[in-house]
Amino acid sequence: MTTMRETAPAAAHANTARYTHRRQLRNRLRAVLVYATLSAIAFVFLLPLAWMVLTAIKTPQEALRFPPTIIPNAIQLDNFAKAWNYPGMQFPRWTLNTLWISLTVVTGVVLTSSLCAFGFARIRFPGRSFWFAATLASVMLPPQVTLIPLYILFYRIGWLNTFNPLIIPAWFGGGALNIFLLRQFFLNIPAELEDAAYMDGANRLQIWGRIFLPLSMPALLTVAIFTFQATWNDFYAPLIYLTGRENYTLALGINLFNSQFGSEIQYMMAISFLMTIPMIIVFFLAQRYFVSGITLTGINR
Amino acid sequence: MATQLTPLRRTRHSKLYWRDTIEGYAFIMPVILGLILFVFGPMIASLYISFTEYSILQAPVWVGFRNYVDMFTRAPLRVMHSLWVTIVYAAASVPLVLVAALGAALLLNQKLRGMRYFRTMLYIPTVVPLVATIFVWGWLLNPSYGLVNAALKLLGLPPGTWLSEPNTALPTLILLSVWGIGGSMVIFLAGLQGIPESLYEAAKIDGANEWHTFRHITLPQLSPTIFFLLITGIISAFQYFAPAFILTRGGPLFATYFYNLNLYEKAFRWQFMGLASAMAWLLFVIIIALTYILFRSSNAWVFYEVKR
Repeated sequence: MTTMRETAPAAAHANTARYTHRRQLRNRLRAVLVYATLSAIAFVFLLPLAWMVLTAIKTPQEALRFPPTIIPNAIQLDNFAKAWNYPGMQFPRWTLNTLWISLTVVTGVVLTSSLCAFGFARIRFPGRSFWFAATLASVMLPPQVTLIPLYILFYRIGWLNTFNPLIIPAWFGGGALNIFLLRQFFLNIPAELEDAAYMDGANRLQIWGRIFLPLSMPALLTVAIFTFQATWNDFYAPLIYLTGRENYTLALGINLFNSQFGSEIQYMMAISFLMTIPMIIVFFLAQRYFVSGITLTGINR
Repeated sequence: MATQLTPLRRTRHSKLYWRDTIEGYAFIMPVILGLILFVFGPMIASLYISFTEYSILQAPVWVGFRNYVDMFTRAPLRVMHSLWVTIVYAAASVPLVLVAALGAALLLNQKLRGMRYFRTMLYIPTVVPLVATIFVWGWLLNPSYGLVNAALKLLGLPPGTWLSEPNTALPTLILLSVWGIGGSMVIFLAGLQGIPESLYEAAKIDGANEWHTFRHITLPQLSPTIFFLLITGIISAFQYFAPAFILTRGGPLFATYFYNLNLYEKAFRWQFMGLASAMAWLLFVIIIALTYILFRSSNAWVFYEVKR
């Protein structure tokens, strides 16, 4: 009796110990597998960027060596300056063009999409659901459908080869998805704040500017960052509307450079990397908005 | 306070009603004007132009359905060919990207240290400007000097022809689309983190293994996310342009002659504005039809939680 009483818990204890030990082992094995797989994927994903930088600092002879050297023998840091000032190219000017277009587009998008989102989220009026549905439905429309009439319109009013076709449309609502995202955010702001401001005699524009905008900084930054990224990287619209070299954006400029001097691959990679740097800086400064912003859209529920 | 305000407003109904209507329309005026000026107006114009022969320099000439008939019947225009290229690309790359993004998100969702760094590393390609990405891929896959073929040679494998041969060019572009899973991956991660832990605990008590919990909890819970990514993925696959325009110019032998590239050339190289507009409308109809089919089928496989 006594022996049984003593051994049973002991045996159970030994069993659970073995069990937890086995589970620990399995968890550790699993962690190793996850880390190994992720490292392999990360390597493949970062390889192009790394190869861009490694090629950008090679001499012309070494860049075209086959099989290639991984680490350059003679590091040519002045390739970046040479590419930037390449004769016949206007990279400083194209950078300024791109920056100007991106900043004015971001301003227009943030300003007008937040105004519209406020109207859709916080004011009750007839026709509201119709216009909201029309706004959302416009996402489905391929831009090619409106491309040709707009091209002809901009041609007629003398806007071809100006920045207007790229900037002005952004000041008209700033895109359905941005309105949708901000509206979702505004819907969750407590009505009490709004009511209190009304009691104090504030009008709606003041409520939008002094209560809703400051409270929605994460959502506004998300919209701003994604818009900046999309405009900075856009290739299609500048290709169609900008014809004079002095008005090119960076994306068009690099494409021109490639078509004329593409064989000087070290300069191609250098200038590609220079165009990438601002995006990487923005990404690291605002990383949490890139990630949290997507959750804000509320699409996963 | 708030409860007192509501009846107060209701008594002044008509005055507030008009004020709300005027102010409401004032706030959404930008998007109303935008829809009229940049969406509805051009749509009507585009529909008209699609029934004409129009080169901008001369006035449009009404040709009835000729552009629409030509698209389907005149092989040298390659409209059907480019549509096929685009459909093959969409049919392969959309599921590929979805599966890869879900796989990466499942790995990143493991409760292990350092996942944040891996998430950053897997997202970075999405931040790199598209043209820069395109040029570095062209360089990596260069048949004579590229790193990829050098690596294959090192492993004793035959070099790949990648973008330089008609039969490998399109599969190469499909493969490259995996590099852009970052956005979908983060959306999947958000979806995974929104699944209540209690569901997994209940399943564990019932003795479900990992495959069962994935199949019967994770997948149904993620189905709205999958549905969203499927629709946006299809829409953007049909917009495919820059890589084909820059890297392959639609070749070799039109193997990567995407629909959107064809449309661009018809409009801006040949000034066939009528034909290009008709092509845009065909694209629109296809996207609408696909979305409609997906929405209709979504009742069967998309799981929506009943609220409250």
